[in-house]
Amino acid sequence: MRETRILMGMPITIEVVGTRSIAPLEEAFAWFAEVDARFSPYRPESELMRFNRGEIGRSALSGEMDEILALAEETRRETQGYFDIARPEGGIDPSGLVKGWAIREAGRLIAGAGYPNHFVEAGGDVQCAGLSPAARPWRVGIRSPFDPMQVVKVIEIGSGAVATSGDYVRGRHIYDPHSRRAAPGRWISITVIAHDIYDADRLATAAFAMGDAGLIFLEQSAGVEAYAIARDGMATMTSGFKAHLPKC
Amino acid sequence: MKQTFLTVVVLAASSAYVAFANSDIRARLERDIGIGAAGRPVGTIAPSGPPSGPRPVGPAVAPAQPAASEADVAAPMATAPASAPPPDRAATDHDRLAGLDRLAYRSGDGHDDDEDDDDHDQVEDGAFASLVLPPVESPAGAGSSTVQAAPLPRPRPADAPQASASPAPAAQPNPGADPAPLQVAQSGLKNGTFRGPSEGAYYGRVQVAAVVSGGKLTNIDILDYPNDRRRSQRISQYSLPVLEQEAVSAQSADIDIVSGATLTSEAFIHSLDAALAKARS
Repeated sequence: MRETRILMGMPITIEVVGTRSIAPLEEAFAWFAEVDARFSPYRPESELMRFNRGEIGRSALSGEMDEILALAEETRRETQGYFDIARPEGGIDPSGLVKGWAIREAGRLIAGAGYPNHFVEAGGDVQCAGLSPAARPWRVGIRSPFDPMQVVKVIEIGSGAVATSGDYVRGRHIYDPHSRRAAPGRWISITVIAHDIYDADRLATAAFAMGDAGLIFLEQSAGVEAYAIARDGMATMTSGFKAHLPKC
Repeated sequence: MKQTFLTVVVLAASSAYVAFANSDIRARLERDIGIGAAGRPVGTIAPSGPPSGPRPVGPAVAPAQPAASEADVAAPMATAPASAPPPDRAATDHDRLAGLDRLAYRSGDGHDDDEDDDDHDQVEDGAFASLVLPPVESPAGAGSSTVQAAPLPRPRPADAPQASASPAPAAQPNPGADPAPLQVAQSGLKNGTFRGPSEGAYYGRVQVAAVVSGGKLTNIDILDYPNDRRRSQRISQYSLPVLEQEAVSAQSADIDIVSGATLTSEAFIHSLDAALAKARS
């Protein structure tokens, strides 16, 4: 059973193998709705926005918000500040962490309901588990940064996660090479494969923020592979990446 | 932007010792290069408690004396990965740490760049200087002969030097599998310093260098060891493998799902708006 819904301002696709019932997906979508209500930077009444406006103090936060803040601080320290949820204008935006975290939790809900073969995808990040309906590892395409309708790489993931960080989306316009933003780095898109979507997501974000060195960072990171696409259309892969190419 | 090399290592929250999964490997090493074997003990690496930083380990030891002429090439020692941690901590760590606390990043400090890896006479600021073999402990219920010990908490970023997102999900580590056999050099060793590969142990990465002079293994340097969060990365000068490149091109294979940079909510709204406009017209 597969379904896509729009939550948290993005399309979320869930596929659960071995059921024709929507029930396990409903539970996961309900979770995303809850995450949205709590962490949305767009909903004025979300816990996040109330916290950013100073209407709630640190001590009055929910357990989940506390967890996200703690994870954010951990990531900030561990990435030497490259990953930082603090906004320049004040307040925080933990969206970069929340998405991966929410996907992971959704996957746990589905697995906990007794469905070991599934994937949960939200906004281009996906956590896969088990096998696809074709009884083979899930096949994940990497979207082309130059054409949203095309895929430039196909990778096979069994139980694992794929996250892509990139700056090629500008509002409704796909990457405009003539736009004048703060000097872009070499990479237009970095895709990270890791065991856990939470890690893949934040590592992709941190690596992207590092510019050219981001791929070296990923190469040196244990248990992580990456495919980085440069603005000239040349992709560079970490040394273990090819283990994820389809076998047939 | 500061070019900082970061290495992600996996740290155990509690015990962090290198244990060889296969008692045969240990026995061979004891026999061939005398480490941890008969004669003076070489010091111990104590299991760590709270992850508060580097643990004091045994004093620097005298170079190990090879016991036989067919000394093992030391580099393969690094290929024996750590066994699984005692199972009583595994589930707790997994639940408690949510995957994040077990990652630590270390940077290559400036002074380490100047350090001469070949100068094996130096002992770095009280840290260990040789590899030791603590008693092999088999986690209860785990096959101790397995190279990739089966009962590992999930998720975790590294259980092998390669990517841990397993491409073959049905494959479980075979508890009966033999580990990679040690390469036994039949003739004398070449002089020089030889690095073993950086191996992903459960608790982090382990890398050793074998120092050979006069055709004999005279020392084993630890280049990377998971217990030391603040240890500067001695391999910061290590040149990375040349990474493979390719021109991207459109693929038309079957796929289940696409990964890409997040469409912003604004983008989505615009897109939806346009779609609805079409629907209305």
